[in-house]
Amino acid sequence: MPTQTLPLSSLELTRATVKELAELNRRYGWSLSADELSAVQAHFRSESREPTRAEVETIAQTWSEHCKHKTFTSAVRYSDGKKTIRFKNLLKETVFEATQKLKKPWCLSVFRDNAGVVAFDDEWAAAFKVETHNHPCAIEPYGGAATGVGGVIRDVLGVGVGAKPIFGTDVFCLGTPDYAGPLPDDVNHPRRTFSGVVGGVRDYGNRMGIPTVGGAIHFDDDFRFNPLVFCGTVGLMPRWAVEKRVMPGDLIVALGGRTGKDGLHGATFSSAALDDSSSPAAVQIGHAIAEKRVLDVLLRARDQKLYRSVTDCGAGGFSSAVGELAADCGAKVRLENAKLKAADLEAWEIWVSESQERMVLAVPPKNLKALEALCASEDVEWCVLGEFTNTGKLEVSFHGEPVVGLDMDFLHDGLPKKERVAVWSPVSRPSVKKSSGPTDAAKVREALHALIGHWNVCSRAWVIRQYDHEVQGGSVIKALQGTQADGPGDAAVVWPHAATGKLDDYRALAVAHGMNPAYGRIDPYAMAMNAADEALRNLVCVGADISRAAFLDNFCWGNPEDPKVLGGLVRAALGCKDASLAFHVPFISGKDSMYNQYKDAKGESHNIPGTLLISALAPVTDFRKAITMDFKAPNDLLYLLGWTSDELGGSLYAEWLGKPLEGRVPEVEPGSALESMRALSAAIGKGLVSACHDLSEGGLAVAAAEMAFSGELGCSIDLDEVNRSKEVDADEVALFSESPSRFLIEVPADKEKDFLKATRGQPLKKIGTTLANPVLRIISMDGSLLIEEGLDGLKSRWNNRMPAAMGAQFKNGRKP
Amino acid sequence: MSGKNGTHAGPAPTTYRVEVAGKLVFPDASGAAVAAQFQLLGLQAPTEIRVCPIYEITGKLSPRELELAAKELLSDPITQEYRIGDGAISPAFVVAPHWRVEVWLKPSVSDPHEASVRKGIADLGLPAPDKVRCGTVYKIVGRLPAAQIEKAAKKILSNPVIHRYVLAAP
Repeated sequence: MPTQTLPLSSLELTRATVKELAELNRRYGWSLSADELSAVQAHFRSESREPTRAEVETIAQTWSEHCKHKTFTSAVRYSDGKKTIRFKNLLKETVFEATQKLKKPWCLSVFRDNAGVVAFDDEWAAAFKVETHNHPCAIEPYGGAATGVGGVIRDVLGVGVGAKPIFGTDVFCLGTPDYAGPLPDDVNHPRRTFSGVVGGVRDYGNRMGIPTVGGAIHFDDDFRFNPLVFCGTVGLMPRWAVEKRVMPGDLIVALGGRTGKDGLHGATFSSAALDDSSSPAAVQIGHAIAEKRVLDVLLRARDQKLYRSVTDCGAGGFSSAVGELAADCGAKVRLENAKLKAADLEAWEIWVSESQERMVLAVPPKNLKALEALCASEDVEWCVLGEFTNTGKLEVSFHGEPVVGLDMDFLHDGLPKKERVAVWSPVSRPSVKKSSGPTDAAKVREALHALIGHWNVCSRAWVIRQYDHEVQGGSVIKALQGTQADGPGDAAVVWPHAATGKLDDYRALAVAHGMNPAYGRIDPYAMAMNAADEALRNLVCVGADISRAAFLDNFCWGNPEDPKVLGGLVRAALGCKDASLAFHVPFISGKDSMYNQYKDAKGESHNIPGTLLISALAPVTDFRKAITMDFKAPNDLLYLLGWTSDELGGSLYAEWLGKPLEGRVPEVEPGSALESMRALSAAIGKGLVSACHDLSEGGLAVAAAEMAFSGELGCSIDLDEVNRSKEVDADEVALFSESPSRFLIEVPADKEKDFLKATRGQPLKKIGTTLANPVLRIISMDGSLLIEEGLDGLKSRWNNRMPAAMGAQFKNGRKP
Repeated sequence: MSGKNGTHAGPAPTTYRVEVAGKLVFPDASGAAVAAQFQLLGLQAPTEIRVCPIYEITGKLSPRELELAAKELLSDPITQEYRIGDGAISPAFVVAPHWRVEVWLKPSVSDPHEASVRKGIADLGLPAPDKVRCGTVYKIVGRLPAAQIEKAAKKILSNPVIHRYVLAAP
């Protein structure tokens, strides 16, 4: 095998010293650790032979952080000063354990396939997946985001025997677009990253005809080196299509795009920190139209039952896809059969290339002809790469020469386990705001102005209006709401029956997110609880059925080899577990991205703030009862549900005061929160609520302003009426505290009695009314007028921040 | 004309350049968006920017066949005009003195746009080109110093990771 062995001159892997192994690892970009390298060496020593390059590449891909989640599935010893917990497998004993304990019968496929699957109705199931594409987006934002969307769509296509993608979501964490500080030359300015990733999501989603219906953006300059880009897709599939099974003798058929040198080492790339020498080959240009054709062929072939199993070619390309499908049997692959973009690919390159828009299927030989015809009808290329076997071996050849001959057991279970160390040291934090005599009204107004135009509050219309959120015709509750169609919605509601054909069925799906890395800076456990609470709050606001909600986790962290960083991750995982159990909402799938750090020219590491995104999907029993957040009529009653405490830790107000790390982070009490949410859901289901918005960043002040200007109706709110704990003695705390599980609710006067009946026993208080006069009026706790401010001014602060910074001549809404 | 592949030794492969420009009566929205980025980057504001697609097509197309491809496929007759190589200049190509920045993908980047153009030409019944490359020309009108244009080329017009650019002074 002259071309396939490692070109190591006098050096051979089985005889290499530790130092020489490290040199090989660096030269070939495997991103394997010293332990892993010696495990590979020991394996080939025991076989008394040298590995081929393709074999080591296969192992490197399969064991990569991206494919194996080795941080999250590893053993961890965690201590927080008071207690020590030893995990054998962090994921299994936290997030996954909660799902197992909840045992929801409607969870059809969790944590084992390319996406999580839940039952939608008796015939149909919904698949949901959210993935990150952070490192590629840091280097080439447009291409990175586009291929991120393409990848998560293929995940949904490759779950079970395939789901039809019906809508997408996107979430970004970025540096502020008007960041004015210094940046190294190789780092894109956050504004460029922002417009690039929005463009990438827009073009891929729009061209595939999949609406992008919702998402979230969090701005923080600590993401300037390592932006986070989470792409999500929801798909619908018949329930029979949830199971997949490969049979020995099935043909391995590759479908879609040709294989080129694109994205070599994309998977192993996620194990490495970005620095000046990161390879450009990690980036590819996505081809949405090619993927759309693959989608059309696959779904038709699925319904004709032409194949038994499918998965997408993501990180690691054929090596991961075939390796995964053949994990329980074995496979023989002949790489010369692959369709190539260029003739000069080496065998290992074909094997691990990450060219986009490719799927791998297990096709019974008798069905090949029919599949061929379908492919021809859509102009999709295909090839038979080989067949599945029952040998338990992965055997790959190139023009008759063996290239890979690996035991599946070693490949999938040979990764050496090591116990990692995680520490957490809690810090006590002073209160952000104490009462000191009468409130300074001018200061409060100033804070309100700053918060309403804050990067983490301001209108996302500049982004949303670039996305097609209407294609497929099912968007019921859209991202922008209100009289001018520009208010900030809490969750999106999509009617998916264009995919099922049940046109008189009013059942729909709602999707929402919860995420706030600012809380995580103080305590990742609280960040996790709050993310779960926020995602559910958002679902409740539109009238979704949270008793059937399902969560997805996405953890993005810095370097987990740093025990403090890992300590934060463990706390977030524990928060997920506790939130899941207490809210009775299972996690159905998830993903993690580690090593989000940047080493600058001085060798200093910049880690991102550990970030947990919780995405939630829930059915809406009857979308005609779904509601939006804008005020609907004057002289309606405003109720505040939930308890307000002095919880300004990580809040926007604390940041505005210049004390971002002070104060108590909002603490979720899931038991009572769940009861309140259930009661509110019931009231919405009975049509007793005309608008509902959750209190999140910026607290009561921001929520009230948003509801008012979205509905072009004023409101008057009396802070003294707010249900609050004793320590809340300052107007600022009542206005800006970010205590969780709170909702501002508009109730028509004639429905008040029924509303109160439906919500009996909940911490609910009437705090004001809506007004015909378009002003935000806030009465201080001492009875004086604290704020009376026209909605126009507030709205233009809120509207203009983003377009101004992005250089857009952007007019939103229907009226000029 | 032969038209059939391989039956005759047709003309040797030739490389053509086709540049497409929006008619000047239509505002150039993407040019305006790029110009706004100049200001945000702290650069001098250009008077105007026109953004033009450019194609480099290598194949056995005759000049007439290429003309057909440019007219039917590469340009929109209502809003755009095209120019082949150094051929005659139509009104849309008469732009005030400007910096010209051509941005091309690096050869190592695989581009679906190129594949679509190749297929589109073949679908017109013309000989499929051996190679197509797609680029973008930015015509930057205004008295900007070279250093500013260089900075814009790197930070706005191209991404050095996947692009290379060619710069020509007014």
